[in-house]
Amino acid sequence: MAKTRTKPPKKNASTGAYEVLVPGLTYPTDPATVDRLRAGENLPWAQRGMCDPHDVGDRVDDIPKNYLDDALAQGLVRRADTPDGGA
Amino acid sequence: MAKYGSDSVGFLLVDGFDLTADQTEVQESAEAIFEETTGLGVAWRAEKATGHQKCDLGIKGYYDDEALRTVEALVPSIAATRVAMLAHAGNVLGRKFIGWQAALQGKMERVSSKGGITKLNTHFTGAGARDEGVLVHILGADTGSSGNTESTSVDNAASSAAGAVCHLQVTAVTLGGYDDVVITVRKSTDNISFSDLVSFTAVTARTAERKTVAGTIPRYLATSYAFSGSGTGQSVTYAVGVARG
Repeated sequence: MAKTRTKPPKKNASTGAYEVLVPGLTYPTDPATVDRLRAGENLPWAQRGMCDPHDVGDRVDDIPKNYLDDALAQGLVRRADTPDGGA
Repeated sequence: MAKYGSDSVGFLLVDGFDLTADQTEVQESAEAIFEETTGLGVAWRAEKATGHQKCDLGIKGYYDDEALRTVEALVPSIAATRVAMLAHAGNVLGRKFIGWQAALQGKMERVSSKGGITKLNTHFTGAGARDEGVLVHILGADTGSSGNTESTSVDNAASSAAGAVCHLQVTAVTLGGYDDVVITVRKSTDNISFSDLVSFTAVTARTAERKTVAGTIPRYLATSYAFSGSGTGQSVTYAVGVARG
């Protein structure tokens, strides 16, 4: 069991703000971590650099660029800078 | 697939009571109800499933009147409905468990015999669903202020479409000044990001709960816990299982 912690946004974070659509959303903020997890590497939780859990309606700007499409496609977030969420 | 011996039984939990060490036999069953549909002019009896099912749970064990053992757990509870979990294939992440939504405790018997240890046997009749799923948090203690099992998530190999039933059994809680602890089942499509599937009612003492979730259940499941407020020396001992629909 690892304690929740927050890392500062990475340079490769997505641009613009996104609104969280699901409760308790967490994700790695480092794009390299996304790549390693996507490749099937079993990283210990403490090495994943996960963000703190976000509530529905929170605005986030630290989603890694290489995970943004997945986050949008899974309905985890939507663009926050348009009234209809960019639809 | 493997065979399992009695040493493999991970736990039997009833309303947060851990009865494992006092039991010598657990017998559970599920049965589909049929009705005869035989008409005239046929030789062989016909049967058709009515769509109803029933389940039973019988346990045999020792009469033990120490705190939190069989006497406290079972003697005062005749006619009460209990939430129960059995890990017959081991207290191992991803292994099967059986859960009972409402095990109606219909019979309790003490058995004293010459030269023997006094026994306490109990029979439960299913008054609700019987769920078969997998453990997503094995019975064990967490002692941080918060944490999760996302790095050891349970992989179902695919998502499922028909909802799920989530079982929680909390056998011990030390709040250490905290207000309560919330235990949540977490879900993920890709094992990269996670979000809440369902949170159980905030826990302040030994308890058990069964919750249902509708809709698609993603491929990966984990759990998290978080103590609310502040304190020191906190601990929560619990098991969580999820049965996909």
